Amino acid sequence: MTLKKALMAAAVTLVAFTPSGASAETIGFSVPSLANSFWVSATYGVQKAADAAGVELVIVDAGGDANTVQQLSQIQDLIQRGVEAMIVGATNGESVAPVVEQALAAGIKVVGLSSLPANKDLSATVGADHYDMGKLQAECLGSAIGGKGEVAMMAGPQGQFWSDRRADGFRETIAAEYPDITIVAESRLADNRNDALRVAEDWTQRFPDLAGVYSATDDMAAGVIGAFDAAGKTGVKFSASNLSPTAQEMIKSGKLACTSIQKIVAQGTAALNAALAAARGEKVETNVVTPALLVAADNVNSVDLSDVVAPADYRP
Amino acid sequence: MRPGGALARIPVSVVIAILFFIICALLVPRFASFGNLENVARIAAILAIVSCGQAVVLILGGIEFSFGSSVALASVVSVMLLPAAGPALAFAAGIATVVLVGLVNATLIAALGLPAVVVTLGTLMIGHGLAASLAGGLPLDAAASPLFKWPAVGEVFGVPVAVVCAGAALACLWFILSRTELGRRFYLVGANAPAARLSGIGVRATTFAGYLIAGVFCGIASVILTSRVGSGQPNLMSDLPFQTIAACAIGGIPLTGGRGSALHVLAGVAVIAMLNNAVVLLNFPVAAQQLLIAFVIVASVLAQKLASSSLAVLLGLRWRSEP
Amino acid sequence: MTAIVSRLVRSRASVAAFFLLLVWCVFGLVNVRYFTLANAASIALQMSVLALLATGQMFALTVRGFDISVGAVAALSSVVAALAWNQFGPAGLLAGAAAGIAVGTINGLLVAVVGVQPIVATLGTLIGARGLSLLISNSGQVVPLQSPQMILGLAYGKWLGLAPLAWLALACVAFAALMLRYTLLGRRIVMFGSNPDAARLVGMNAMAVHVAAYQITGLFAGLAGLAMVMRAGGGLPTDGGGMALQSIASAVIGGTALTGGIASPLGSVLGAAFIQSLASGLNMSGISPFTAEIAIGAVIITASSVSIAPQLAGRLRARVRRNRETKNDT
Repeated sequence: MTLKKALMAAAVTLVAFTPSGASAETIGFSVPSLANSFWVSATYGVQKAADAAGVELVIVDAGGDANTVQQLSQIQDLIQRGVEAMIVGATNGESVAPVVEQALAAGIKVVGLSSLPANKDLSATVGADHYDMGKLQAECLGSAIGGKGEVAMMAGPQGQFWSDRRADGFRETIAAEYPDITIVAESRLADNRNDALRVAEDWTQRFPDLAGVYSATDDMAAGVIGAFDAAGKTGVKFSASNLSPTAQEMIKSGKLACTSIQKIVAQGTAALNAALAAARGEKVETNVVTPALLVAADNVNSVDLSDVVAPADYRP
Repeated sequence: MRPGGALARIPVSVVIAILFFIICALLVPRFASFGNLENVARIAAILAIVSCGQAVVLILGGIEFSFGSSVALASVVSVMLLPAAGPALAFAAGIATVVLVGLVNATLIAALGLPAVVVTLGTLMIGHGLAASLAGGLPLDAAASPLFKWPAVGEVFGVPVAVVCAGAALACLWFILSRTELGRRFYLVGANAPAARLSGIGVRATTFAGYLIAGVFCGIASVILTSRVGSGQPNLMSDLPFQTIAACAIGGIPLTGGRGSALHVLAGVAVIAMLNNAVVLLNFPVAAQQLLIAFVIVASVLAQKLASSSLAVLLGLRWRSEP
Repeated sequence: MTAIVSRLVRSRASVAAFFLLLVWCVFGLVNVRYFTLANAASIALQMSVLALLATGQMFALTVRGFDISVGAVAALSSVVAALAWNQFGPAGLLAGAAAGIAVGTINGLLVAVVGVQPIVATLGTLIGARGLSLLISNSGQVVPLQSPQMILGLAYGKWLGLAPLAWLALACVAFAALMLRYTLLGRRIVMFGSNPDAARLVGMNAMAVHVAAYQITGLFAGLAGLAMVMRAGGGLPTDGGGMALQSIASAVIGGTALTGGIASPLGSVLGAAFIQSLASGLNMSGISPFTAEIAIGAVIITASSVSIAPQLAGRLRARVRRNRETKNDT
């Protein structure tokens, strides 16, 4: 193959693969962990809005809430890709701030979603009220167990903004409104269903009089409920946050008393629209906070889920 | 020197396990209750089955890092096929998946001679990526059916199914390692592969068989694990390989050959399972848990070394391991 | 010029170099922005942690072992360094390196003196290091640096086109290369790895050399931890999960053999560069993160099989010869 032909072939491939059309923006989305039902739903919302607006979306997944170094590298990749704007869900707000500064310095607009980077010049922040979610769980669980007894908290990973805030909301509301309830254990070890199952199994032995269990996510609650079921402990009440298909089933079957939810898909959509508007130089609403909702057996069938959770067959 | 006679043949790890049990029963509240011990036994059973596989691979001088993700992949595959095929076939598909991964590892490591560390790391990533793609990142729930739950909660003559399987697995391991030609070859290849080849042993075939057998053990464990969590989880037990390595280490798998290796695996698994249980019952913070586990691993291994050093000097051996 | 090229081609690092070039061409075709100096500088910075870990891992591999604790040790060192910085200022960073050496010493003593298998010893220190990180960091919270401006400048500034951190990492690797070739200890490490028994017979203090190899691995893990601090502006107690195995892959692809006795610092760096380039290319292309993971796993297996192809070919030739001989006998 002559040199000229090779160069032609390369040029053709180049043209074929590079995105065509100068007006099509590319938006980047840096997710901490797609093993998490929150982020899957958020990604669905972002993708939905991106498809509707006809822009290309580049998703990078750090693979875990603790993988900060990986996320730093991935945000750098987005900068190199030359995205016009990016949405960032931070593994750790302080640690990603410097690399987000780099993005801002390169003229890229940045929108923070849920777990916010600690920068001051973000074009917008979109989030839910995690504290409120914990508070709603406290109110629901508190009244479900009759206002007194022992409860345990499967509170999720330590040091993550969302889990810490939800735990605070729960704890403080219980202290303030249900003085006869004692929190006998708070586990920060488990952050997935299987680990929660293991810890909860040990709880069934340690606390035979447990009346209720708070779970930071519905995935963990599934593990907790599994453990208590296997131990034959009926009569214990469970509350959770987030509303994946798993949780919907558990509410409908009565195993889960209630779950506090946030409009995750709506947040994702809002984040993308904000990022796009910022990239185009349009006006942006700087702080979007979606309120928390409580879902229980009485409204599980009627609540509109399209803003809340991704469909069961969605694959990021 | 340790006291002679029959007593000297009891592995150090068994002594450690028994001591550990006594300490926990005395110091940890609710440890010795029947309910708790049943929980521990169930979890230990799963670990024991996979550790049998890891033990074979370690004796061969290799290593298996991909157990965690193959179990996860199996759970996703089983749950996806469940509506169409029913529990029995779904579980069979799960076992087939794990065995397939074992086959891939065996081929790459034995036939092509690639380093085990890199191959099992590669299959770990491929397995996890596949599991996550199929499931979409999140756990897939299985429709709860009694047959599906049976491996996890069922009982055979009052003994949990998982424990029965573990007993069978350990018995198989003991049989393979001490009563078959293949088992003896595992030790020889692991101790000195070039020498083994020179004495006419098919090193490749032996290694291949080892990784395949490990896959079968892991496949059986995956059924129980999937049943236990009732869902297909891409991130199921990602630390499984490390737990099994630790169990084999604490158990003190004798790499220079010898009887009773299954007993070593059992002892090691027992210690790890009791340890994990005790730290939760004692409500240790995560940091203290990790430190304690690390301490126990190192202390057990040191104890075994001390116990066997006199023996090793006597026999004129001093083994050195290669990864 | 041709002399350098031919030397490179024949060196152990050639496979890694080849794959690096291949990755760049492939992704460069897909996205023009990949094939730019700016991206190269970006990747050089991104790979600094992995390059340091891979270089350290190389020392453990050279003495026929390996060290799976390097990721956790890096995390621990980052926390120690951050805490020390907050207490004592910039000099505190040395504490991070010291933490790495300390754990490396423990590994070395366990493997060389007590005779524990490397996998077991380093698994123990991995768990212990993680526990220690959690303990001193207030249960896994990131330890932010007070007044991190200066140190962040090292990661995000520019000296002659590359970030200062990238230059520093390269300097450390160069130091390792020089050390291996020109110091007594370096040469003894390689000698010990290629034949431990012969080394002992020759009269060198084999045990000390063996321990030293693991200490150096620990030191580089500590340096990687410092790199993490510079990138993140704080100590990261829970990070580093997958890094140990990736560092082994980098070193192996770079030509360091798992059977010991061979050390290629250039190869380790190129291996790390290759893995990072692959990851960045996949990130930039926007394909599903799960598919990317599958791709990386498959490529790692392929690349390392090419790396050890010379050994495989040798074994294959020996087997063919043996078969021919046995056939002639019958």
